[in-house]
Amino acid sequence: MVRHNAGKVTICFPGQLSRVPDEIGKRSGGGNNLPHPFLEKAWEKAGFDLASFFFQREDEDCYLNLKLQVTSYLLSMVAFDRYRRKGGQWDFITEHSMGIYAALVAADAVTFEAGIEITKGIGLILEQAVEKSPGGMAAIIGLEAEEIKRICADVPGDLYVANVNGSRHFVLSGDVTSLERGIELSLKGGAISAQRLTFTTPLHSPLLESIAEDVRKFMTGFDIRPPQTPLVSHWSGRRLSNPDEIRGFLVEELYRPVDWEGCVQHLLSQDVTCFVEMGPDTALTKLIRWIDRDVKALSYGVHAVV
Amino acid sequence: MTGVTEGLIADVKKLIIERLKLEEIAVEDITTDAPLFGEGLGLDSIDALELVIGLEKEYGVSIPDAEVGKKVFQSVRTIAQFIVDNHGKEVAAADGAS
Repeated sequence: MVRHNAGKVTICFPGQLSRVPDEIGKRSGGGNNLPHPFLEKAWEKAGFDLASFFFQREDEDCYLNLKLQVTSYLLSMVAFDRYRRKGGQWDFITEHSMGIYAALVAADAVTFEAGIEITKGIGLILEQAVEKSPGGMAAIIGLEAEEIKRICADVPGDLYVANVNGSRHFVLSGDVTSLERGIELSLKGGAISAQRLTFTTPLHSPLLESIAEDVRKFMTGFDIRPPQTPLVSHWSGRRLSNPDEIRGFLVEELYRPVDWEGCVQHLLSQDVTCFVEMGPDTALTKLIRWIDRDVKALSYGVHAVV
Repeated sequence: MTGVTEGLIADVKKLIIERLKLEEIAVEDITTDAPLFGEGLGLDSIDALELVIGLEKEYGVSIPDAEVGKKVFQSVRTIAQFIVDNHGKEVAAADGAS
């Protein structure tokens, strides 16, 4: 008898959105537009109103990336909550970059409340790091790994590969001058696209090792439990299974590159046949389409959240 | 603009749908002269690379850099024109009418 193998499902939590989704930020603020309990908690716990894209405290409201990061967390969490309530299934949880915070909640390793505090707290540490180590990130599409490595080596300043998202999809991270030079060389080298991202910090690069101690200290205040579903990290599919490992990952991932391609390849080797992206964007879905055209990849979007 | 047939326009639309796995979109949903990126179909640079590969495979025409890409990927019609201008090897086969 032939055993029918339906394949396994992975839910994926994306990193920071690159822009504010169209539906958000157009209303007046003050926590008045909160149709989901998670959004109410965001207002109570973090003073953030998603509908108006607004932090109650002025000194926090000035940080665009902090707001984008908290927004990404909330939209992923609302999508996940709806997916779960509708009976959605999953065998693995994975994440890209700072999608780890929502992924930890989905894996029941931290509470939703702790998740938003971690997202905001690490976001604030990153914003403060901008003063010590200003920089940015750029997405380079079309060049291959060898060309990307050569560009990083040829640029005299600090320029690093921050994400390997696919065989011809990379993100660079570094100081502003080096990044601009990297974009120039990439376009000269035939990249189809080379563009700055909204980040003002050189995330996933050694330039951020300087904040490791601050993040480590910050994380001691949180209760972390072992994940209830296999949680696969963006480092080539390394499994995160105990609280100490998770604490270490949350620190190290800020200054180590994301290997999304390796992560997806690992999951494919574990009989995953369907990936579901949690959030309003389709970035991971498209990257998975590039890595394996035969596997099913879809985005479980968030419509009419606000 | 010369040499672009309706058959080729339809084939370019099919290529976009297949390459980008736009399962909910039909050929007739795509407007020939509408922008493909940002507005219109709302494609992004990851999609652009898929189209570059699709055009190489189907028609043997290559987009050498971002500057050419920007011009070619304005609309379905500009893609079709690029195929014709560069004598895409499959133009005749893909567009049976010519």
